[in-house]
Amino acid sequence: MNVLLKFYHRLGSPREFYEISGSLIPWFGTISLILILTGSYLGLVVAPADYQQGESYRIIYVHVPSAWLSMLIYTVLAVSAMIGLIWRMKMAYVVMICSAAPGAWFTLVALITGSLWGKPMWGTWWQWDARLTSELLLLFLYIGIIALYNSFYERHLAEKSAAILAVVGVINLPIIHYSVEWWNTLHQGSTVIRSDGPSMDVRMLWPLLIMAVGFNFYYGLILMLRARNQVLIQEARNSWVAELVVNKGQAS
Amino acid sequence: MSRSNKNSHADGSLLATLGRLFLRDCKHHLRKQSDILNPICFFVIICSLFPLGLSADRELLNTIGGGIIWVSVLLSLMMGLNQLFRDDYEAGVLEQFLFTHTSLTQVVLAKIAAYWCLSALPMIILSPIVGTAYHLTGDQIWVLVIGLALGSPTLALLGSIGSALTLNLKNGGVLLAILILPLFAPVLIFGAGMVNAIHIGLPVNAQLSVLGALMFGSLSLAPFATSFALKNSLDY
Repeated sequence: MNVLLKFYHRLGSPREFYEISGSLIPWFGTISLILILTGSYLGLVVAPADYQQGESYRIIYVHVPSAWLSMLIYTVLAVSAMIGLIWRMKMAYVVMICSAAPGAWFTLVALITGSLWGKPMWGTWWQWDARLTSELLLLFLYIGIIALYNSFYERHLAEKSAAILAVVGVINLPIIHYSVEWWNTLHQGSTVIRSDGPSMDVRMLWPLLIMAVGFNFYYGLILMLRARNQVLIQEARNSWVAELVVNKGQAS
Repeated sequence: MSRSNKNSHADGSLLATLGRLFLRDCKHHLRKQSDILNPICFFVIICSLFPLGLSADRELLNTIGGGIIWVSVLLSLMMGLNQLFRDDYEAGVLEQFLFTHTSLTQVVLAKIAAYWCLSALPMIILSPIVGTAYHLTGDQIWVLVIGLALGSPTLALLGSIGSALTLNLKNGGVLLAILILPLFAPVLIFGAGMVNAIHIGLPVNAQLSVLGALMFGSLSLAPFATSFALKNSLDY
């Protein structure tokens, strides 16, 4: 416990975070690369074709991990926003704002791959289905947070405002999700969406899980890279950043 | 809180303070009539533009009428929300409130109430007229009015958070829309859904309950979030 607590405190300091993340980045990079490559190979080559959807189901290996991640990242964002608001931890706001753009991108990827998948399967690019619509609204929430953060000149105001919005958003998200689900079931008597097809074959499921874990590591990597830049910008006036820059300059 | 209030006002109970703040805001709005009238005119104008863009077909207008009136109310309310705290902020009144014994949450609650009475209420009163123009049936109009009455406080309460967050931004108007319109989705779904459900003979109890729950939920949470956001915007 003591070790964990110490680690937590160390991560709370921008300088310590910069050092720790520096040593973690190669690991995250390698692991995500290996997992995504393995998952792609297993998913695209080894896994059998679906008996209903043929080869086109294989987009699932990008689509589903992105969709899962889009929701996970919003949770990370909202939890770090709360930590920031309650304990006023500098690094929490950094994690929050550095998660927003990757979250928005993964949401967009999930929407685009979903639309590409929908065209051959459902015969339409877009369906006002509950999941699609709530994913779209999630994208709007992400965009709102990014837009609000960027519109302030003073960073401490921007951080807190975006954090308040993130917390309001996370309270609303379940309400939005269930209302959209309810709306959809009321309006669509007959739907083109296939009812849950075959339960997944193990040879199809494993690549999916591997891809999902790989995507998570990739998000961790992106988050750390972005957070490191953010830390350097925020701490630009501190001596350790100056030393770092000077040392880097001399080394190269 | 209550003790310090008693010391500062002779008759300073919570409700009395709320009432005074409410009347102050109402007077303020009534003196600056354009703030109140513009969103209402906007509401009527968008509602009358839709048939021009679609068609005057009775069946079609009946089907889409509920949704269009709801979306128009959403947009018109949002226009006014931009001004909710701005005048008091620019005059420095909001900062003065921070130094009084009145809690900012109370101020927020009174402001939202005054805003609702002078902005949303006229739209609710106008909605049967607009609904008739969309050939809504009597039942549908009733449901529309009740839905708006239950839903619009939620919209004003949620919107006040966005309004407080964008208070000291120059181009807050468009940003406000991006921030709060996604949050309005549930109210729109249940409110507009009701108007269509009653037409095909479905019960609307569930939607009414949800709208009521959303209203009380936001009534108990949103004022705190708004006053917190206001303090942040004032850099207090």
